Amino acid sequence: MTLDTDPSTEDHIRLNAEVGELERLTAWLDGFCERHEIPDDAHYHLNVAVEELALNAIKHGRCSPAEGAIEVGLRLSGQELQITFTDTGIPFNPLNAPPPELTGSIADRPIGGLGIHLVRSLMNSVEYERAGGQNRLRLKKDL
Amino acid sequence: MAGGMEIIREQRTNEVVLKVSGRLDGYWANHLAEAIHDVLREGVHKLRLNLSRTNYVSSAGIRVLVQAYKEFVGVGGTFAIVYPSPGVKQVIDLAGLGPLLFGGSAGETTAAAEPQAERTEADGCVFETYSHEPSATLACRAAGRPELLPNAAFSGQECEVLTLPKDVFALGLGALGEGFAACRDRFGEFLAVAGNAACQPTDGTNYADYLVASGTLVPKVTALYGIACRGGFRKLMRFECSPSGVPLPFSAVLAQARRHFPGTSLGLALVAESAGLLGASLKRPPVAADGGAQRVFEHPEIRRWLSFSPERAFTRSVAVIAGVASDDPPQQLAPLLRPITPDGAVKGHFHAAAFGYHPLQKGRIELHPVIAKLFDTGGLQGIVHLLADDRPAGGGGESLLLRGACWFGPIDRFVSQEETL
Repeated sequence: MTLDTDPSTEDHIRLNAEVGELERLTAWLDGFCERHEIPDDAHYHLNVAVEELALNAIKHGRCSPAEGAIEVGLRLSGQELQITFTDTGIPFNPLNAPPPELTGSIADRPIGGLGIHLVRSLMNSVEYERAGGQNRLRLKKDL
Repeated sequence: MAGGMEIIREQRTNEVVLKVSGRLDGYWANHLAEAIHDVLREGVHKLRLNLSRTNYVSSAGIRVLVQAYKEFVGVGGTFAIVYPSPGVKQVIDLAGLGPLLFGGSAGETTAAAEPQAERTEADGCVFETYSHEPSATLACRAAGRPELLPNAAFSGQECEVLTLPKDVFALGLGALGEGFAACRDRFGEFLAVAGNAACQPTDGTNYADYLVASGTLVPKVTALYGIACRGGFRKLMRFECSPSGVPLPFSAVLAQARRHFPGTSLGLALVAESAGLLGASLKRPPVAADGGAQRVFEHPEIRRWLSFSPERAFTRSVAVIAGVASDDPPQQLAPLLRPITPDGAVKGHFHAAAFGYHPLQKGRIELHPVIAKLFDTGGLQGIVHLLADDRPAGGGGESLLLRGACWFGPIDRFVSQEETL
């Protein structure tokens, strides 16, 4: 495995707040991971976390206008993958969301609420700030 | 981690296996949800998802899996994920759902207490009839003056407020609310079953309305005319046409029910997956107006009065149907019954309420929870008066059903309008 430690190894993508954009997002993430030989498990976890954040912004963020409302940045720094996720949706700090119910009968569990739990579980750190009318998340994943 | 999804279906003896390749993400999750619903609609209640070649799942995908699990368990069936890929297994475990979704027995219900059913086959369909309430009977009463409908001549003098508790089913023309004045702009077809009353308003809104019994609230309908029956049903008949895939005419279901109580008047309530309902509904309230006598059923006026399509409506819906049938109608009910079989020998009156699709549990089920669930989940689409149009050329036929449950029993008492049920 070769990890590119050049600090310039970063990329970003701007997306419309539409479900149809998820395929483009996936292709972009896959391309980055393949170029930089990101290990399969980290690649998988990156996909899950970023899709969760994007889908949440698309479905619940009420981004207006939808065009270019979401921006995702990736940066490889040594053994660490740094992700920034920005959207123009309504203020929402996912770190304040209550944890989902993970035990008990499935019949009694609400459907949903798992996305943020997956993001926090799969990433090594998640930070949030609201600035400039945008939700900004900084995530880190150890490789 | 390429995009896309492919679903391969394997039909086994008593179950279906779906092999899912690709991504189960926010973009493709609905594709799988539709495939799962198609399995349920076919009446298959045992499904395994082989996710060995699913390389990705997100919470949107998990949502589909959990929803599927709940729906299959809800109908007494089985849903399980087999051979999950490592990545899929990790995410589902992180969601705390592994022990429930992986394996083969989750959700399976025991059949140990299932009573014996009398099984017959006819018209390519299977009928299983259970004893339901062995000594139950029905008492029925007509209300109002149906003979005023052809001239739309109803006034406040003929209408009557019907109280509709859980042991009553009723149908006719009416509106939710109390009193002629409050309802005069909305009178249309109504249907009440198991403490739930639904009305098709004629005030131009075209949105069916309903009331559900809750606590001390008992639904009431102001009826221009109608039939109300009180009591219980002796039999439950399940019918299933999936072996042939050819839907069953409503009159064939009725014929099977009548076979159990020949020569008697019959009351029934039925819940079934519809392949299309043939019915009509009023467009305007049939109340007396200043403009003189109306001719509701004459051409061309009928077009202003009745909504009717020769094509069946409410395909892929769940229909609740209730009414009475008799080959020798008693005097009290005769004005309300019309021929409903090709030879005209059987007369009846049935209304149907259509709902969005919900799978029905197999086996012996209870009327009240099934009806309550339909109303609870919303999705009431409309109420129609069922028609049977068997003219050799141009006749629209009748309503068609794929599978369902029919509760029925003899009517042993007819109550005059001066009495109460």
